[in-house]
This record gives sequence, C-alpha cells and structure tokens, in this order.
Amino acid sequence: MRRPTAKPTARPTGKPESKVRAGSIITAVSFLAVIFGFAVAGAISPDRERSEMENRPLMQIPEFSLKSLKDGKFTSDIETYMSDQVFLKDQLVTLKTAADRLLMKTYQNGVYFGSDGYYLQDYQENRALVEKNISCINDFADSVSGKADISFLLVPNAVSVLSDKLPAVTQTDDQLDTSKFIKESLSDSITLCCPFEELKNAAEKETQVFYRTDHHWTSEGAQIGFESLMTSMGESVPEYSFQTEKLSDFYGTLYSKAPDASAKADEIHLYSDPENSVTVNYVSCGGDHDTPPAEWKKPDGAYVGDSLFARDPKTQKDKYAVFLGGNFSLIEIETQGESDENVLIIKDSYANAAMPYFCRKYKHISMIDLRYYHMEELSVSEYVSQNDIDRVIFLYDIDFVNSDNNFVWLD
Amino acid sequence: MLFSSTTFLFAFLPLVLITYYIVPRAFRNAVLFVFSLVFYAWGEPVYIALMIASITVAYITGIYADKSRKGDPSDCGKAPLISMLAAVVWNIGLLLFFKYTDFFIGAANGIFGTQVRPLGLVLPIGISFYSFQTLSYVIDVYRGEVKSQKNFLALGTYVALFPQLIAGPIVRYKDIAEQLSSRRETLDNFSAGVKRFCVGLGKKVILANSIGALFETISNTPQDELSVAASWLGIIAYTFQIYFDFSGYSDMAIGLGKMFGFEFLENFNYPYISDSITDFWRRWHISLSSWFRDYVYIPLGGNRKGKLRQCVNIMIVWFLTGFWHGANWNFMVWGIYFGIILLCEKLFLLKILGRTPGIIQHLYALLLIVTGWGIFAYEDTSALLQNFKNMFGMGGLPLINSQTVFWLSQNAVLIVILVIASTPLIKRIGDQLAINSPGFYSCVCIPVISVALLIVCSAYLAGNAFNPFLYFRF
Repeated sequence: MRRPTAKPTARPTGKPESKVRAGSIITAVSFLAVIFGFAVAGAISPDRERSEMENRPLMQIPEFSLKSLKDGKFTSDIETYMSDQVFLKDQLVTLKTAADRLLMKTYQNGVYFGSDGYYLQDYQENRALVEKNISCINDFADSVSGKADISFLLVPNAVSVLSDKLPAVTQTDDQLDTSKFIKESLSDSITLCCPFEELKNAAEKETQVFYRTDHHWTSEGAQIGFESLMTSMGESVPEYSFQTEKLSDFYGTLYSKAPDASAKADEIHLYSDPENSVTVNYVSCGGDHDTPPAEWKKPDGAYVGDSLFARDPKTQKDKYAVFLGGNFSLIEIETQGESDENVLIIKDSYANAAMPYFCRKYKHISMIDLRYYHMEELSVSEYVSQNDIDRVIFLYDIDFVNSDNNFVWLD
Repeated sequence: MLFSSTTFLFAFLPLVLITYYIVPRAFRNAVLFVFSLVFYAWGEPVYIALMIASITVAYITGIYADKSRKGDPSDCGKAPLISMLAAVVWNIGLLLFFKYTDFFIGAANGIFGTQVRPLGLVLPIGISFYSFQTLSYVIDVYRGEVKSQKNFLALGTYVALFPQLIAGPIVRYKDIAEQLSSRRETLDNFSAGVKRFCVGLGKKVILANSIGALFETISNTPQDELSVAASWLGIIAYTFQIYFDFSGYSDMAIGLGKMFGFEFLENFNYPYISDSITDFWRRWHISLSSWFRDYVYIPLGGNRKGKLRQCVNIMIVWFLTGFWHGANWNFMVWGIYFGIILLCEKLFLLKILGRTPGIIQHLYALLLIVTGWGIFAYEDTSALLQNFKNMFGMGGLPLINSQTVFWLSQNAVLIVILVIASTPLIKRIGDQLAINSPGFYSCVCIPVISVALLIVCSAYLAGNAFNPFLYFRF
C-alpha cells in the first residue's frame, strides 16, 4: 500500500503526516462502526417472519444438530439467516435496485422499469406450452359441446398493452403473435375476445388499466375486458351503480421483484353495488391462501361471504387478494344479477377483479381455478353437466396461458 | 465461508477483530489460528482434519529436516532430503487423490474402455492453495532458506490464515516468517487494510458478480438465440468476471492481512494492460507463476541447460500451471496454449512485436488473453468448441441480434466502468490527489469511498444478487 508521503512540494497548509494520521483514524473508525453497528443491531433487532417488501418468508434461526453441521446444512442456513435478517434489510434491497438503476439497468428480475413509474413484466413466448394448453381447452370444448356456450376472454398483459412505456431496448416477445396463434388454433366453437385495442385505447385516454407495481389489471381494466367480452358474445352490458372504496398504499408483486425507492404506490378501487347482494360460497378451499377470509367462517366450518371483497388483505401486503380473498379451487356465487344463466368461469387471478361486473350480469356464477381444482369429486365437464351450466367462460391473461401447466386438469 | 457474505462481514469479522485486539500479543496467533479453523470448517466441517494433518506433516518434517543437518544450514544431504520428500509426497499425494483421481479414472475409462467407477469425492476448498503454501515451507526449509518453525501454532496460523486460505494469494512462508513471530499492527496499516478490503469487496460484489450474471445468462442461452456478437460479449464478460473476482479476493486478502499486521505480496498488477503474454503472466496471479518458477522451473534447470531444455521446461511448467486450475482437459489445454505462446514470444515474437505500435501490442495481448478465457471458461468440450465456432463465425449465427443488443444496452455502463477499472487510471487519480491535497484525500475520500463500497456491497448481498464462488475447481 503506497501511502502519500510528506513531500516538500505538498501544500503548506498543516502537516500532511497529521492529516494522513487523522484520515487513518477516520477510515478505521467508520469501517468498524459499520461492521460492529450492523452486527450489534442485527443481533438485538427482532427477527421478522416475512418480508412484506419482497413478498416472501424470511429464514429463521436454524436449529443446531450435529448432523446438519456435518452435511453443511447448518452453516448454509446460518448464511441465509444472516442475509435475510440483516439489519435494514428493506433499505438495503432498495439501495441495490438504486445501484442497478444508476448503472442504467432497465431490467431486473424479469421486470422492466417503464416510464411513468410502471413496472412491466417481461414476456418470453413458450409456443409449445401455449399450443398444449390451447389443445386442452379445445378438447374440453368438444366434451361439453351442445351443453354450453363457450367463450374465452384472453387478456393481454401490460407489457404489450402499455408497450409505449417500455424502455427503448427490450428482449420481450410480442404478445400479439401469441394471441394471433391462439386465435388460429382455438376451436371454432369457442368465442374468443382479446381486448387489446380496447385496453390500449383506454390507456391512451388516461385510464389506468394496469397497476404500476403489480402484474394484474385494475378494476377499470377489468371492466373494459368484461364489456368487450359481452360485446363479443352478443350480450348486453348491464347497468351498474357502484359505490367506490379505495385502498391505497398497494405495492404489488412486480415491485417486490425490484423494490425501488422511487416507485409510486398503487390504489385499488373496489366497486360494490348496494342493490346487488352477493353470497360467496367457498365450496372447495384449496388455493393460494391457507383459507378463505377468516371473517366469513361459519360455525359449521364452511366459508360463506357476503361481499366480493375480503377485509383481511386490506391491511396486508398482498392487497390484490382483497378480491375474494385470493384464488380458490371452486367458488359459487349467487347474486341478484340480470340473467338466470348458470355460468362457469374457468380462470386465473385476473378474473377476480372482474367479478363485480359479472355479478351484475349473472345470477349464478361458479369459478374454477385449475391450479387447485385437482382430484375433485367431479371433473370439470361433469361439473358442467351436473350443474346445468349454460355458459363456460375461460378468463386468462396471456402470460398465464404461456406459463401454466394446469390446463391438463380440464380433462 | 466467503468474504462476500453478510455472515463474514457482520459476524465473523467483528468477532475476530475484537478478540484479536483484546487478547495479549502472545495469544494473537492462537486467535487467528482458531478463527481460521472455524472459517474453514464453516464450509468444510469434515475436511478440516485434512488441513490439520497437512500442517502436522509440515511441522514434523520441517523440524526433522533442520535437526538432521546438525547446525549446518547448507547441508542438503540425505536426511533433510528424505524429510522434505516425505512432505512433498504427502502434499502432492493429497492433491492428486482429492483433485485428480476422478479425472484420471475418467480418462482411463475413455482410453481403455474400462468401467472403473469414479470416487465422487468433493474437492476440499482451498486445497490447491494451502498445499502449495505448505510445499513452499518444507522446500525452503530443506534448502536452508528459512529456519523450521518450532511453534506449531505459528505454522498452523501460516497455513490456515483465513484471509488467503481459500482463494490465495499463495503466500510463501519465507515472506511472512518474521511477521508470524513479531509483527506490529499499526493504525495506518489497519486503515490501509480497510481501504484495500473495501475496494476488493466492491470489485467482487459489484463488478465481478454483475458482469458474471451476464456471462451466466449468455452461456445458458440456447444456441439458436445467440449471435456472433453475443458469444464475444459472453467471453468478454467472463474475462472481466474472473479478473475482478480473483483480484478482488486478493485485495480482500491483502487488506485483511494488513488489519492483522501482515504484509502479503501483490498478486495482480493490472494484467489487462499487458502488451504481451509474457507481460500478462508477470501481472496475473503473480504468486502462482512465481511459485512455479521457483519450485518447478528453476529446479528443472530453467534456462541454464540450453535452449531445447529451456523450451521443454517452459512447456512442463505451463502444462502444470493449467492443470493446477482444475482437473479437466480444458485447463490443460489452457496451460499448454499459454506455454506455446510464451515460447514463441521468447524465441522470436517479442522481437517482432517490439517493432509494432503499442496499440497493436495491446490488441495482440488482449485477443490472446480473451481467447484463453474462452478455453478456460468451458469445462464441457462440446460447449467450448461450439463457443469458438460461434465466436469466429462458424456457428451459423447472425452477426448480431436483438437479444444481443438488449444485453449490451443493459450492461453498457457497467462495461465502461470495468474497462476503466482494468487500468491504473483511478489509482493514478488517487495518488495525484494524495499529493495535492493529502487532507481531503485521507480524511474524506478514503473513508467515504470505503464505507460507501461496504454499504453498497451489503445491499447487493442483502438483495440476493448473483454471488458465485469460482474457485471450487482450484
């Protein structure tokens, strides 16, 4: 290490040696302050169960055993524990994103930092999987043909609808290619609606159709999707008179992938119609949450809600789960809607935000989520015939059709 | 344990520092030895026995070699020789057994069509480094260049010293023999160590890991989505990754050494500004090439036994250097590749190069260095060959595609920083500043930059960024 030595040519202000000495003290003390500070603060600050910001559980202190020590599991768990529970973890994670953005990275962890504060999820087409999934849907259509009308609301994602917000250079594939392919390969007996233009037009007129920090569409986006579907099906759009409740401070899943200090929180709009009472019956409760919302648990153990919106998630990180409390295997909803038809919606989470509009339209709605509707008593087509389903609606976003492996459960 | 982990930064390091500085001087080696064992056992709870055995063998043979020459330090007679050879056999044997057995079994199966089952041993981390350190000790004792170490703890501290234990540099016993028994920890040294450590951490965590992620992405991309430019970008990314990773580790080792009063020799000296491959190997992993020079090349006769013999010696050394980096064909080829280039340079090429403009010399060196990493980076022969075909336009790939443009756009700023950081520019600015305004430099620049690097690195570690360990093969 070459230290600057005092040279006669050095500026004559003070003695250079003493300044170097002072510098050594400052450097050593500040370094020690940081490492000891983090060590002590990390040791005394309470451990967190999960990180709301990153939307994942955090490692807890591992249990010691000779076996886990010998096979290296103990020490590697300690490493994970130390990094998960590090002091100021959330601030550090944000700082990492800031550092990456300073390096002009516009892409991190599968998301782009778009303009106007939008996070946009990358899309890489998996043509083989799309083909397989569409053929599952076609097979299903064959098996229920004559019993029910089938339509398909295929929702393009923000990355294509809001493509003008993407950074200049991206690696994303074109979802319009995928939707074109789906259109060509989908059975003629299925009415397809892909509201790309409708969503894009609305976005251009300043309607926020997707959340900035989450991969879902907003309630407004969902309304546009619903109405486009009704138009394609040749059905009338019902009249709504909604009351609006607003949930603020929503930082969604995309934010969790690349938490950025400059990200702007989203607002979730909950539309409810006081004239239209709903009964939400959680028939089969497997899903992405342990149980349906606890407030709807009945003495007999069943879950029956009187609203499309759960109270619990309003205070939690995963605020999109306010719609129906998350995704569940089978939900049956009774409403005062216009039409008497029995409707089955086979869906992903995009459907949840559209339910206020469906409930205005249909009296009897069933929702099946194929990610969880496995090995149930009735197969989906048996469900259709036993429940006199008049109308089957597939509601999926393109990314889901492109990545999910559960369409085989339609069989 | 890795330096680039929150466990090291915020648990191990504070603990070892506080313990080291509160115990009386007489116990400081013991503190370092015990903490080093914990450091090693953290990742290798079983193989620690092996390292202790190696230390014991070196301890006994060293003392025996010294004793048997009865006070005559120039006596390299039979008894000291046998003692030294025993230690050499032990160390080389260990290395051969753990590192190379499966390779030889695989090679034999391939050549003779036999069906011998590989042992499937996990390579003990750092064995190539600590074996070479131990060897330098026993050989130097045999040659009478240093006295044997009577204190087991001091010898153990030398071999196991955690700063250089798992990724070098290969510190020679004679270079720190004195420091083991009497060293002075000073504030100036400590603070210089802090600066060096933080710079090394930044090189590893911010620069090497970030560009390493690009190499990882490109090398995992299916052939039909690549381009000629992408395969160059990939190998250039690897070129930066291995330098900033490896020299970052060396910086951290040197910095930590300073914090405990040790002075290790430099291991890297801006290798990518070399103007020839001869120059490159004076600047890259200096502790390894000088080890091979002093313990293989010169004992083989070096350049003292005629030109032909010298050429043979050079090829032997570079074959071994390559093979030291890993038990695989590509590392052998990589070593031989450099052996041949060095031979050519020695015989005629340097003379020709000397007559060309500097820029040509640098381009020549860089092209050969980058091509060398193309051999080094791929252990799978077919992937290696495919990559070279791609690089030189024989892979049927487009010159460039949109995917490549995307990768470039994401990494452009990083690459500019990497290029600048590969040159002594920043150091020169610092040195100039230190002369012109020493107060600002030492009281503001150094502490602010050191702490900022430490915190940003913690952010990358807390954010679970890509953080590989490249030396499992070494």
